[in-house]
Amino acid sequence: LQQQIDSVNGKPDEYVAQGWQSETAAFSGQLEKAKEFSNHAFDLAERRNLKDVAAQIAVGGAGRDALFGDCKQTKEQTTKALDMSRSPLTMVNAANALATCGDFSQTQTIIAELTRRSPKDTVQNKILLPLVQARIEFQRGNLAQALQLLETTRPFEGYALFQIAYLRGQAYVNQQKGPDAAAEFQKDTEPQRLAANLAFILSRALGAGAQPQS
Amino acid sequence: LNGDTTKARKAYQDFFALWKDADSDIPVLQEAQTEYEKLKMRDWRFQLDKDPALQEGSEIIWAEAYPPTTEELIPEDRPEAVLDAAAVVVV
Repeated sequence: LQQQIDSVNGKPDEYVAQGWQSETAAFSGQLEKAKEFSNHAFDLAERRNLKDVAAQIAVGGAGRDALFGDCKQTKEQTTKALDMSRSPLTMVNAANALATCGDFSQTQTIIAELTRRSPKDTVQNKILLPLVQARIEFQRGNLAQALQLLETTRPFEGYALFQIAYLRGQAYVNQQKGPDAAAEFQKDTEPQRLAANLAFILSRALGAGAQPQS
Repeated sequence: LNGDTTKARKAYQDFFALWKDADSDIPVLQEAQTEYEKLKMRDWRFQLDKDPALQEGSEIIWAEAYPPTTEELIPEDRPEAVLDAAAVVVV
């Protein structure tokens, strides 16, 4: 990873490397460090006037902060992102983060706007928005309804497997259904392993030294 | 939830190893630490119930390791429990 980071430092897309480091820190539970990296990534993108990119970095940070329980930061980051861009991806991610923090009113406003703007967008309307609605129901404690909403995503869940399986797993945990929850959480391991091995194959092809996942 | 406490303990330990340098004030980490302590207490109680040989002196160790809360000492529906608690301290 360091090799890859060094290779983009000082280049126009340096923000990408800051993003990787932010995700790596978050993966290890180092939230403050993750915030520093993503703030730096945001500044780099903003300085180059890459508004959509900067907004997506901010909203990505908001999603992370929401899952870590920092809802004050989530609110600030989503506001910053939505002030810069109203692209569907930014809005969906903002809605997801806000729903996780219990801001259902703003979440519903975003859902309504996106549905109105793109009524025939399959990915948006069959996967991403049901996922946000399921998150709302989960946060409200309506677990059966959350699970039912996630059923609509099942034919397409390869698109956002991690988020869908994670939320479904959380709902099963709250329903005290241990085996069902475990099955959902373990769903992630196979694609992750494949992705890691693909990264290994690519890094080998590029001459870097990653290790395969067993 | 499945009742497999060995697997559960291993999963918590793996998580703590992965998050050994994590910020200590993260709610999910604090929750996991609390859950892990509860799991250890449950296992300890289970071992005690299974093996009478372990019971000798165990109450003192138990009381030192995990001091009971007021609610545990005097449940609302069983005020006489305060005597049991006193007995633990005396032992």
